[in-house]
Order: sequence, then structure tokens, then C-alpha cells
Amino acid sequence: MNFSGRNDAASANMKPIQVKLVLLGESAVGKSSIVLRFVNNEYQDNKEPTIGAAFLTQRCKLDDRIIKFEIWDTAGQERFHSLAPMYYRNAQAAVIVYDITKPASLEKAKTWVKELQRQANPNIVIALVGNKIDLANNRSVPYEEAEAYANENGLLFFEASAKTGTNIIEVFTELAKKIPYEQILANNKTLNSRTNGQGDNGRVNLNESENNNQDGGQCNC
Amino acid sequence: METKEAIKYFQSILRLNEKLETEYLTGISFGQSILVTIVSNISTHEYCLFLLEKNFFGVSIYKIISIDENFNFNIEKKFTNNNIIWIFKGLNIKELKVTIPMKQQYYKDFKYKLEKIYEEKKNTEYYEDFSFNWLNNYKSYETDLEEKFSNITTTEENPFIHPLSSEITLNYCLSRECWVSKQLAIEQPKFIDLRKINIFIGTWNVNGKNPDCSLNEWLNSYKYKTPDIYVIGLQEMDLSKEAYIVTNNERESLWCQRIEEGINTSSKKYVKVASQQMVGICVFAFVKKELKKAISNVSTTFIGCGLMGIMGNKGASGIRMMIYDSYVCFVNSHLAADSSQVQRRNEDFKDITKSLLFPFIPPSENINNYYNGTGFNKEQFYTENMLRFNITSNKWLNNICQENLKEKENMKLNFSIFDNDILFWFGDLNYRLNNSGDAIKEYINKGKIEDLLEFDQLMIEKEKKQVFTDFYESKIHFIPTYKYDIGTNIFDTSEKKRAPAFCDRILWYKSPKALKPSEISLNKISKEDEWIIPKNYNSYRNLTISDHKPVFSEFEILVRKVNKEKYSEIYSQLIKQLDRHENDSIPVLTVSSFVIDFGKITNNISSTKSIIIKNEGKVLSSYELVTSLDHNKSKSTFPYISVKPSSNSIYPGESQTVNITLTITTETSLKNIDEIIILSVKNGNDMFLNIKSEITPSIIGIPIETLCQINQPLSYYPWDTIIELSNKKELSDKTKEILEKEEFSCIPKCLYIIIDFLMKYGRDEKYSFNNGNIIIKKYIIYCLNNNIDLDINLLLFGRSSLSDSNLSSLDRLTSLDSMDTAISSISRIEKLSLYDYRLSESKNDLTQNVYKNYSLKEVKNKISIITKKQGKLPSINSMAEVLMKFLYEFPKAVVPYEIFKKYGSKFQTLYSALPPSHANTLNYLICYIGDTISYELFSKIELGILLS
Repeated sequence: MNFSGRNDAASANMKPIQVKLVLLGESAVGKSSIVLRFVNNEYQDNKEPTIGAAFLTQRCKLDDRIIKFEIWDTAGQERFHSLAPMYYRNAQAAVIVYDITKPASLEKAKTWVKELQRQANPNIVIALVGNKIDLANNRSVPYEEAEAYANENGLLFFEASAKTGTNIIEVFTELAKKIPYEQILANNKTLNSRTNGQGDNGRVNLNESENNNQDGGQCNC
Repeated sequence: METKEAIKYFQSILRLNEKLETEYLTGISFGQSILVTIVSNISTHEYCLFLLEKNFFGVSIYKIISIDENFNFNIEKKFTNNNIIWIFKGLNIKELKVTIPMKQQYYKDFKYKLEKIYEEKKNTEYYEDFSFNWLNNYKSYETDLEEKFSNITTTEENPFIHPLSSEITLNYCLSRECWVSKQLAIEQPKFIDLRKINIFIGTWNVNGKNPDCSLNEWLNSYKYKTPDIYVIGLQEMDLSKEAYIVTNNERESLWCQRIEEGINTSSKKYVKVASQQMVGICVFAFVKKELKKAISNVSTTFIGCGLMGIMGNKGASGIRMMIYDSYVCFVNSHLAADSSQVQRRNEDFKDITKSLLFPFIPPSENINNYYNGTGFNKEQFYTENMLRFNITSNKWLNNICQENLKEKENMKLNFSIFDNDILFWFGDLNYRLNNSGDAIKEYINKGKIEDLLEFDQLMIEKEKKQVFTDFYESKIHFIPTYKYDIGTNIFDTSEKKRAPAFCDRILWYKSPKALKPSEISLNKISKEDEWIIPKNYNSYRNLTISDHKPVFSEFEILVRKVNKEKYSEIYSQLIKQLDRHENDSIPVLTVSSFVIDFGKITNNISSTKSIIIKNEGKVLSSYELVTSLDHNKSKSTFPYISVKPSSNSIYPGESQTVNITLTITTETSLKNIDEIIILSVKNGNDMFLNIKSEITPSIIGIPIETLCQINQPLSYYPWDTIIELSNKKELSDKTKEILEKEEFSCIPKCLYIIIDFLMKYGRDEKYSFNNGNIIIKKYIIYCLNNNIDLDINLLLFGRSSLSDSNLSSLDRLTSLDSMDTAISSISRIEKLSLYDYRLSESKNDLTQNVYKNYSLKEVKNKISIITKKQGKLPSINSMAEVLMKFLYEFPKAVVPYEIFKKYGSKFQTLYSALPPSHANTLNYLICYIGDTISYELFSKIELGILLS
């Protein structure tokens, strides 16, 4: 016996799976704009540089799952580079952005890829995104070059435009498809049983070591 | 731990004379996390209990119970899982249960305290004096659980922002799910289609007879349309005594077969959906083959309320099923017999409504959706059903909370008959006519059925709202269906001559709160705008095997059918909107500046700058200084930066001034500072603050040995050279090169200058170590830092030895910045003297002048004025104070503590253990002290200070 709508209604209320996603890349390549386009479907010219790390969430429906992206949009300026590990640590997904009109930004992106491959969660899913294809007339990074690099390094690759919205949703949807959920769920389970569900909002937790709550019978506080 | 944070926030809202008496306890009430704590008002000696609610975004006051004459507390002796249930009672609270884990370390302390307070208060007679007025301040924080939930259903705004206060007081998950459900309910018309279903309901008390007759005619006597669903309720189907003990399906299948024969014809075929027998009370449901796929979630149940209130001779059996997306429920009941038993029948009805519960059976094909790896997802389940039932009351939400308390395994989910979209109730209800048999028969003979209904007990009771409240029945046009002689259509002729009555009835329920079909769906398929439209209500008189005649009714009902595509689309939109709301509710704090440039600062002098943090979000937000970037290290990465307050909560629209203080010493090993500290907003962004400063060294706070190694003005040396020397690190080539030209002096040069001055010019004056003049001190330190000779004439007699032209050239040579440094270093000394010693008239200087910048010329002019007026004493006092400060601020004392501890009073050994520069300095100091004692220049007390 079945009736239409039921499946959907049931899955719709399912607890979303939380995925920590970090955006990295050189200053002014459009990281915040990509997030803004993805989250609010908005675009702002001349955005001020991000000083800090912005936090936003966005749910995504994927087959029968709800994915809740917890997005950390980091500051691109070089002087903040040393703080980046705080944000890509424990991230399950990363979007590394460069500007197709600036070859140097691709080089910077490559160093991020290397750093993540060396230091981040080994299962991290990385997407390389060449932003600003609305400025294709001034293109100085050929599509093929970046694509070849991405393929070599096992990255998802997109050219996109936060300004026009081209390919933005696709970046996140394709990332969502690649994430090893079973592993996340399994990890969450062990994590939850150990720390009594603490930090389940996936935030950067600077005090993880303190959280060894011995009293299992206590409520989550 | 978050609890600590929560309590910290709570403490911040307490006022001066209010005190937290106990460490807090953690508990659960109605599924919410609760902190229980005792708060007292010191001035009024009043105590009360604060129950704080922790939630996603922090802490808020859930309930305040004043410990007054109404207060009472109990511990329920029902220990579950080492939990204790506390029951609090008070003026504003009837009974509040809080489950507290017994393992809580504060449990005993709390109990003891509370008992003590309670006893004490019980024995005093001053209760009248207690007004608890101070609690009014917190009333605004307090919100009622009920109220909160009603807010969920009334506000369509952002579910993450509480409309009344700036705090989020709703359980995070719950509010999210409720919001979605609420919105879906509003959007229903866009994705819900309605379907018409024709139902034939029949009820018959068969008097224990076998179905030895054809039911074809009865079951096909429908007048309106071919039924989609047949529901037949039989009573007294099995009157044998065995039926009470053993469930025997024989009768049931016989009757079922008979019904199936009746309803299935060449043109229409039905399949059985379910049947439920309880002794003689049996209900069957059949559905047209074509409609079978629309039926799901079928469950059946029964309840006995006959003899002793449990036997099955009376009671009810029911079937519940989902038709498309509406739950439809059928109840077949047999209530207490006898004309006089009206009250009993009413009771039976109440019993059945309470106890006839349908168990929850997870739909098998969707089982994984419910068993989300961690067990049954109640919230999801309830919210999903909230939508289905158009539930507007808070009952369900409270249920969720209560259910949360129960152990997963023990959890039972039941649906009452009212948890349905459509409810039919039929059977032998046994209500009689309040008149004599003869009179009734006369009415019947005259065809005055309508008049007869005035005597109907059911209608009378219903009118009085004693039974079947909110149930409806079609108008009766048929003659009473009870009691006939078997095999005839003649009313009872036996000895008892029972009066005829309308025992057999069919009713339906309509909730006064229910939405109309037009409010739920856009497609209008019935002009009545009702979910249930009765079409025909009659009895069938040609069946004579029983003493009752069967009654039947036709209905057209509307059921909801979710349009999957549209639903999906709307749901996605809602999720998007929810994200937006959630992102809107992310705390947003802004800082007035991301770069905090301290300019030039001096070692050992704290320098403070302020930034303003403003809450530009919509929720109470708290920030915290991230002291360590490496989460494995507990040590602060930047010990020399302090932020006050280092964490705080800010209300929306409000601002907080945060002071950032830099304190550089030779031990912190730093040259110019260009660091990033992080202010982390809880549940929100992180802000990076760039702290910048250049260090201009000052002689104060530099180790003796280092001072001995340098002869040039301090500003001549790079700060890293000073650091290298101070920390006895391996010297860099650069430092070596610099030091090559240096001679090693036996005592710090500046110490020599100071003491030389004091010994030369101070002998004839009785001077003290705390009466210095700020301007003079400023000048002295400036000279010492820059290795400029002190202007002795100026300090002693107010005569500048330099001509005015020379002065201005010096002005140009020395940068004003270093002057500032000198000024600020003086201010530090001045502040120290404020705290450490008695205060003198220099206080005025401090407040008026310290923060102004003077050129050297102006400084000299001022000094000149002072000394001309007061003589040389201010200068000598100032010098003495600089000496004190200079000695005080050595990172390592002249006689380092560990050496002093080791050798104590044995002076010779102590002396030889000192490093040469320290020994020389000590030597020099002793000479100086000896000199001063011989001239009795200052009191012994001051000497003591100097020596320590």
C-alpha cells in the first residue's frame, strides 16, 4: 500500500545531515559573492573584503536526503592565511575559488589545494571554481588549463559567475553528491555517544578538549 | 561547558544585592533542559528558585518560584535511571516536575540548602513582610511554556526570533519543525486536491443469530451513488459464553462472507480492508477494488466496558485508515442497555472516547524515514501528523515534550479517535424513548416520527452536552428499529413488552476548530463546503432474523490528496525561506575598527585602546576572544594582549565598548607587533582584529644585566637587541656588532645618574619616595631613556642652562613621539603611586596634564616654574620616585627571589651568589642607603619599602 506524497512528506522532515564547507582562495576572487548567490540568490557589486570568517547555512535536497551546508567563508587576504586551518579543519567540503582574469589567483588556489591535501581531513571533497566568467572577454586563464589541473588532482571543476548566477548551485549540488555521508553519519554517531551530542551544529570548536563529559546521563548542556 | 556560559550570562543579569546561593543543577522539565538554582536578595532576606531554560542560543528564565508560604518541594521516590523527580509547588505554579540526574555533584548541596531555607522560613512568622518586589524585574524574562507554543502557531515570522524578546526561547529543533508544518498548513491549498468518496455505513444488532439470510437487498439499498467504501458494524454477533473467553473467528467469517456476497455484484467488486471483533461487537470495512491503492496505514482496535467495566459484552471496536491523505476512523459500539441506564451509557461513551486508542504502526515502506538510525523520530512524526489533522491546539506539542521524557523502548504512540480528519460513530447506542410503549406506538401509527424524537434520550443528552458533544446525526425519518418479534415487523409482544426505541444510530464528528475544505484546497468540489455530507439515513425493515432492524446511511466525504509535485516545490521554497530566516537569525556583531594601531608603545607600560562592538543582528549575541589559535594548547597565544571584557552578550541594537590592552615586557620577547586576534561570535561569524604597534624601549623594566651592557641611549638599540640581551639568547650577528663598541659597565648607567643626583643634591633635604612631580619625573625618564644629561640648574634652581635657541633645536632633534612615550611612562608611575602609596598633591597634575602632549620646551618651562616656587625638593622627590620605580620594575629583583630564598640572611654567601652586575648594583645601593641613613633623610618605613 502506498499513497503519493507520503515519501516526500516523510523525508522532508528528516533531520538534515550537516556538512561543514569552507571557501578558500585569494582575496577578491569572489568567495563571499558565491556564498551570497548560493544562499540568498543575491549579488552585490563592490563587496567589502571579508575580514574574519563569515558563517551561513543552507539546506539542499539531494535524493531522499537533506543536506545542511554550514558554510565558512574565510578572508582571502594573505595576512589571514595562518588562521585558515581553524576553518578547514574538520571540513567535509571545500570550494577553492580563483578569478579567471587573474592567473596569479589560480596559482594561489593551487597552493590551497596542496595545503588541504596535506593537512585537511583526508576525505575532504574539493571543488575548484573559476569565478567571474561574466568577464570572459578578459579571460587569462584558459578553461582547459584549469580543468586539466583539477582532473590531475581529483577535484571537481567549474567555471562560474556569482554575478550572473551561472553554475553556482551546480558547484554545491555536485559537491553534495560526492560527500561520503555514511562516514559522516557513522562519525556523528560515535561523536554523539561520546560527547553527548555536543557541538552538533558543526561550528569551529576551539575547546574540543574540554568537552569530555563523563556524566553520560546528563542532558546536553 | 555551555552550562557555565549560560550561568555566567545569568549572573550578569542579577543585580547588586542579589546573589546566587547554589551552584546550579541541571534537569529536564517538559522535555526542556532546565537549570535550577537558588537566588537570594541580600537586603530583603528573600529567597527564590530560578529555573533557567537552556536553549540553542543561550539561557532565559523559564520560571521563578518565590520561597514563601506557598512554596513546597517534594522528591518523588520514583527513581528512573538514577534520576530524581523534584516537584516544586508555589504561588504561581501548581506543580512543576523537574527530572534531575542523581549523579549531579551539586545535588546534595542543593537539597541541603533548600531544606535549610525552607525550614527557616517555615518557622518564621514574617511572611507578610516579604513582598518579593525585586522579582518583578525578571517577570519580563519569564515566559510560559504554553504561551511559547501558542506563539509558534500564531507567528508566521522568523521562527528563530522570538517575537517578544530578543532571545530565542524556543527549542531550536521544535521551532524549526513547527514553523515548517505551520507554513505547510498555510500553503495547503496550493498542493492539496480533494477527492470525493462515497461511504455506506450500516449497523445492525443481529441478536446472536447466524447470517441465514441474504443481505443483498439491504446493502444495495443505497439511493445516492455506488459506495466506494462499505463499513458494517454488527452487535451481538456472538452471544455464546465462549466468545468472552476465546476469540472465535467463525462467526466473523460467516458474516463477512455474507456481506461480501451482498456488496459484490457483477458491476462492482470490493476487497476487505480490515475487520475487528470484540466478543459480539464487530466492524468490517470494504473498499472498491479500484480504490484499494488509496488506502494505507490501516489499524484496528477495541475496548470493553461491559461487566465490571472491562468485559466485552459492551464496548467498541474501531477501524482507522488513511484514504489518500486523510485519516478516517470508524467506531462501532454497543452501549449499556435498559431504559433507565442513560447515565451508564453516557459513561460508556466517555470511556470509549478515552480508551479506544489506535496503536501507531510505522508504514513499512517508509520505515527508514522514521527510524533515522538513532531510533524513532518523534518530532518528525508528530509534526507530520499535525499537518494532517489540522491540529490547532497545543496538545500535540506538549505531548512531544512529555514523550521526550520517556524512555525510547517504553514509548507508546497512540491515536485517539479524535486524531483523525473524519470520524464516524455508530452502533447499538441503546438510548430509548422517554415514553410508554403504547404512546410511542400511537405516534408511530400516526406517522409522527418527528414528535417522537422529542423523547429520544440521545437527543436530550446530546442537547445537554452530556454525550456525543460535537457529533452530528441526520434527521430520523424511519420508525424505531427496536424491538421486534423475531421473524416479523411487529413490535415486541412478549411479556416484557419493551417500548420501541431508536437504539441503532449513525453519527459523525465535526470539530468546531476544523478548517473548511475551501480553506485547505483550491478546488471546490462540493457546494456545501463540508468534509462530511450525509446523503441518506434509513433503516431496512425486510431483515427479520433479529429483534433489531438494520440502520444504514450514505455519506459523501472529502479526503485530501497531496499533489506530490506541487508539494515538493512548496516544500523546497519553505526550506529556502527557513534557511533565510536561520541566516537572518545568525548573530551579527560588528566592530568599529578591524585594525587597532597602538602606535608607539613602551615596554612595561600597558597601553589601552577601545573598540566598539555593536549587535546589528536580531538576536542576543555573545562574543568571545579566541585566546589560542591552536586548540590543543591551553596557553594563550598572545599573553601580552588582554581584552576586557573578554566575552559578553550584547542585545540587538546595543553596543559594548571593549578595551584592548597591550603590555609588552622583555619577557614576552617581541619586537613590533602585527598580530591578528579573533573575536568569535557565538553561532556566528568570526572577526579578525589586527593589533599593531611599534615598541619604543624605556629603561624601566629592563634587566640590570642588559642595562649594564649598553651605554648609548636606549632608543639607539633595536628592540630585538634588547630582547636578545634580556633573555640571554644566543646573540645575533647584528647584536654582536652593536655590542662590539660597547663597554660593559658595572652598574646600570641610569642608576648611577639617579643615585649620583640624590647623593649630591639630596643630602640637605628630607625627601620622600612618593611626592614626585609628574612633569619632573617625565623629564627625568625622558633624559634617561635618551641618554641626555639632566639639566641640573633647571631641576635645582629653575634656571635652564640652555639658551632658548638651543632649546628649540633640541626640540627638533627629539621626536615628539618619544616624548609621548615618556609621558605615558610617567603616567604609569603616577598610577602606581596612587595605588601603592599614599596620595599627594600630584593627583592634580595627573588628572590635568598626563594625557596632554608637551614639547620639551614647555616641559622645561613648567619645571622652571615649579622649582622657582618650591625649590629643589620636588625635583629630589621626583628623582627618588623614579629610583623606586626603576628598582620596582626590574624583571628580576636586585636580589633575585630564588637567591634570597637560598641564602637568606647570610649576606656574604648571598652576595657571592649574585651575578656580577646584580652584586655591583646591590653594593651601590647599600652605599646609597648607608649614606641616606647617616643623614637621616627619610623615615625607616620608607627605607623598608625601598629594601623590599
